[in-house]
Amino acid sequence: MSLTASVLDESGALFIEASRSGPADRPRELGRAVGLELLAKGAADIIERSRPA
Amino acid sequence: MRIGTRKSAMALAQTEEIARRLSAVAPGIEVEIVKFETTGDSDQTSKLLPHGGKGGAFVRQIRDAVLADQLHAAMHSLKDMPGNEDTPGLVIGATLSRDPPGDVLVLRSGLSIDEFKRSRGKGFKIGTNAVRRAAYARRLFPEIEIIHYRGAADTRVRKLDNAELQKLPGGGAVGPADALIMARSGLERVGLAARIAYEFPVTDMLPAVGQGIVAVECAAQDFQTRQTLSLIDDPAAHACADAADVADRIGAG
Repeated sequence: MSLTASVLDESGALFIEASRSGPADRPRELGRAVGLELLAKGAADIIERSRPA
Repeated sequence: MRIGTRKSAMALAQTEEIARRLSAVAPGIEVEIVKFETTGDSDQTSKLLPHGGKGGAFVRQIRDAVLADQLHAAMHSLKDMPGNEDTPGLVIGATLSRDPPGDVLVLRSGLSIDEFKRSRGKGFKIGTNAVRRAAYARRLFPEIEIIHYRGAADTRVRKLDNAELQKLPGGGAVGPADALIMARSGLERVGLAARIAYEFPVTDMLPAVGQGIVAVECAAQDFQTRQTLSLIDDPAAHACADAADVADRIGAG
């Protein structure tokens, strides 16, 4: 199975995407790998900037 | 089996589908559909955040009824279930096979998709309450105006067709909208698929986590209900839900 995830800010200008494939019987491992890739690409910074005051 | 659901046309259609599938695999089972008017349904003006987001607005009351033993199960659109919080005492007993998960554009009468795309959004208003859809819309149509827009799927299309204004939480109103971004599966469920003017490829607009998946939740200790629900569980949809949930918790939670 494949999983694509993205993080973007409200303006749509800042955009990060991660996509990976893995065995269908190990979906949580695939999700973890994609989530970590998003973080490695800077997702946390976009999320923090977009958090409601 | 008493199954709780929101009372919108789409939610009822989804719950009736669950009842049909249960009847097919467990002949003799009697399903009673219990309708709930959730906070998010009764308040058609506010943003969802003050109600606790989508989870608080559409899910919590029905979950509470399961935990109080008033229901055997609860029907949710998986995308409405908060992925970043634990729910002690509850489990997803079944996920139905996934409907097409993409988002689509619905246009008001007299507006063509070519005209809309050529404009890059300039002079047009898209109605949505979803932060994700608004961000993608700004990315795809940089000059678009996004307006706050609430209501069940059929309600939103009716408001578009009648050029109704959308009341704002702080007073006043916006609109009317020229276009809506909606889930394909939601439109199909309420018989409005013919209104789809354009389907966004997932490379342009990723759907929400769990979009297109119906989840049936029940009490973790209710093993009889869990066993029955397992008969209609679609493992592929369940795997999609698990993968996206983990990515959401780690990458965006």
